[in-house]
Amino acid sequence: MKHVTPPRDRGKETKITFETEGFAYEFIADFPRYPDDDWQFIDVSSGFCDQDDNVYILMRDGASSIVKCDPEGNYLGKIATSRYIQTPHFGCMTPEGNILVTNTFLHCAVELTPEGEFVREFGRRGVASDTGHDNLKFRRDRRYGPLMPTEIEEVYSNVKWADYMAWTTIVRRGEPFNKVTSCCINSKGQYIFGDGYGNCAVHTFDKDGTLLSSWGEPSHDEKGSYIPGPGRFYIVHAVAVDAKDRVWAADRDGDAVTVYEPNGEIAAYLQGNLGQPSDL
Amino acid sequence: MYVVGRGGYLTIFNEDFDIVAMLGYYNSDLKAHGMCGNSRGDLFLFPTHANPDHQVIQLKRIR
Repeated sequence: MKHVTPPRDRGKETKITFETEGFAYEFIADFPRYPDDDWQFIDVSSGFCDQDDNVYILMRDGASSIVKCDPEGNYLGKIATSRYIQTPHFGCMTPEGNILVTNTFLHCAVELTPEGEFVREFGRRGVASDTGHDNLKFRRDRRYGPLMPTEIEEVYSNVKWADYMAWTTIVRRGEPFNKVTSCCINSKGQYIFGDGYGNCAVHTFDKDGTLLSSWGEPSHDEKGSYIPGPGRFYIVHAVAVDAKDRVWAADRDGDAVTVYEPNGEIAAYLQGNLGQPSDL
Repeated sequence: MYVVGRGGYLTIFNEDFDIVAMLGYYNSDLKAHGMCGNSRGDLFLFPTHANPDHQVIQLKRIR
């Protein structure tokens, strides 16, 4: 009898490419080579690269941490951040080579040294700004409103639905922050944040931490009616700057991107068939 | 600018906001919660619950 067992890493034998005119990418399903095989099951929110093409992976399960890999995916180390960060969402490198991470559910963003030591913080840790965001809308509607528990048993088991309902309660732009989602830095070294899970804002801070501007409006009115449009955000999920220092703000659940000139004027509105843009 | 979403699309815009490339299809494996890129033109996708078995995907630029 011949006993054959295909190799565990048999997936590497298959080459998958996504290509269109001018662009082609090989799809590699598992980039990092972790020292612990179980790490592949940890929920990863996002990541970013440094100038040497090392990749920093933001893990948000359990002890929040940042894992650093070299450009080939080899493990270089782990930056433990649970002392300062509860749930890392998005991050980037600063011009000084520090790590900037949004600490979403503590309503702040934290700057750390490459070794994970605290440098400074933006926002008020643990204090959400007033935007009307009501985390308990789903629970209230269930107890006092139109939703009956017997009708929505399956939905109730999906806590995400409570998030969706809460996002429709954001009726005004608040100060920094209310569940800040994302960050980037422009050519002047100014810090830009997408303040999106509990707010509808794009905030810009000077390098010294002074708030310079806040842009954006909610996409729902006080009756819960949806009014989408340029600069009106359902969820500001990601921000990025381009070579002209324009700020691109991705409205994930609005399936749109609003692009701001550096002075805050809206330069473009890209809307529809983007697949709910999560990142830029 | 590269725009990626949960629906399986990767859209590339130029600085005039024109679409220069559209990759993926509805519910393709190009679903992502987060994304970043390196100086080689490679992209990294972080799908979270959209693909819990592959949390860090590399899109290696070959053209």
